[in-house]
Amino acid sequence: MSAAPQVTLESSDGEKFKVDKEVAERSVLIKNMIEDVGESDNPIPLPNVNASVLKKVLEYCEHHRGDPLPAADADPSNDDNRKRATEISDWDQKFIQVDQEMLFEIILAANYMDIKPLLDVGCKTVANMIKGKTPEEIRKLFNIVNDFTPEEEAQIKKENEWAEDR
Amino acid sequence: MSVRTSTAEKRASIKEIPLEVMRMIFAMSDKRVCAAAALVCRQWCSIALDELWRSLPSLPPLFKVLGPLVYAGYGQDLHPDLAIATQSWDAFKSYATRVRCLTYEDDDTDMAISTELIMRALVVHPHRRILPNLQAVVWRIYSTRLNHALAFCPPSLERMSLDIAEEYVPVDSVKRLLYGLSSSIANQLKFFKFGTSFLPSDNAALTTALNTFLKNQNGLLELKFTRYEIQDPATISEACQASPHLRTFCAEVLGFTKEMLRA
Repeated sequence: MSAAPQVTLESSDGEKFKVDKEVAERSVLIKNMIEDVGESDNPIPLPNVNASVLKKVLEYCEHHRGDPLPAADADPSNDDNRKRATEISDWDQKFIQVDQEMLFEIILAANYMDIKPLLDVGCKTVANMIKGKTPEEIRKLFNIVNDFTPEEEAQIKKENEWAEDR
Repeated sequence: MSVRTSTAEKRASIKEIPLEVMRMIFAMSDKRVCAAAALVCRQWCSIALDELWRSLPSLPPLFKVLGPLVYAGYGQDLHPDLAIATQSWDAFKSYATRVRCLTYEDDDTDMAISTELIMRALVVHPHRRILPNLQAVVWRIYSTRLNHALAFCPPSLERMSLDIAEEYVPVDSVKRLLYGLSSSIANQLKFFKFGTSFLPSDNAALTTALNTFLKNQNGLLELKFTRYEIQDPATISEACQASPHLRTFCAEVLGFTKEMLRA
């Protein structure tokens, strides 16, 4: 039995990861790169992803290696396709229980490497974090500075308060 | 100090999340969350408002952006309290362009926007459509304000659901609306649902108007009549032949099916 084809990925800090091609190809970016340059022994550089994040991302890809690929570009303007609240499977839930910085790193990596289901898990996690919080609580949670003038803030609040009882 | 700097460089924060990803996050959230997010900081504001206003559950929230609206009493419509400032119209337009989906339910218990105010809103919009990016509308009408729909629907409208309470709406208003829509939203409509049940004596004229309207909708995929008793299947059948892509036809009339239409 011949071994499954493998590829080598190289993180921004120079660490090399040898993984099954099937696992690496959960990333549409890598899949396209392999298709473009053909099979090669050269490591595929991922200059935007450091080793600790890449390790985490590959853990996700390994677990989901057999999943069906998501449908290409569902029309986002169609409300049926807009995923509403925010169910995450048990394994993903556990996987994404990381500190805030790692969560954002994973989201950035999933976005860069084009791993749609992982990006979804990250986005849902952030959506759950802000749910039920006041603007001030959200700023505090993410260390965001309020850059509105009090007048602007009052204006926006007034124009959108109809959403409060939705 | 240098240690602090190097950790700060390494650690990702929410500010680095690209705006299109923030947009996905708000799209997964409900309106209440979007309203809170809009108040967090300038960067979030615009995209959170895009998601919040994407579907508008009634018209008053939009018109209240212009200032306090006054309700003069039973049978009266909502009017602006004072003269409307230019910047209020700018704010109105910026919200109006965000709306992709509108539900408008007009019964007399709810407060309707006055015709005068709608006319003024039309004047400030360059293409004479109050919601220029509207894709879907559900219009439930229990009054004579049926034609107001024309002011809101752009030519790019894709889905329309009309539900008309025949006991309050004169058949002529429905005809006028259908003729108005025939010329304003030609060829873009994919889904059309028509719910009303006028007396057979009124129906002939209505069928003609419906026929004219349907003949202009070449892109129609789905057509549904609820509560509408088709008096002249042949005419409607002819109209449906003009929609080569029609895949669903639905009518609540016994013994009347798509196959009969096609025959």
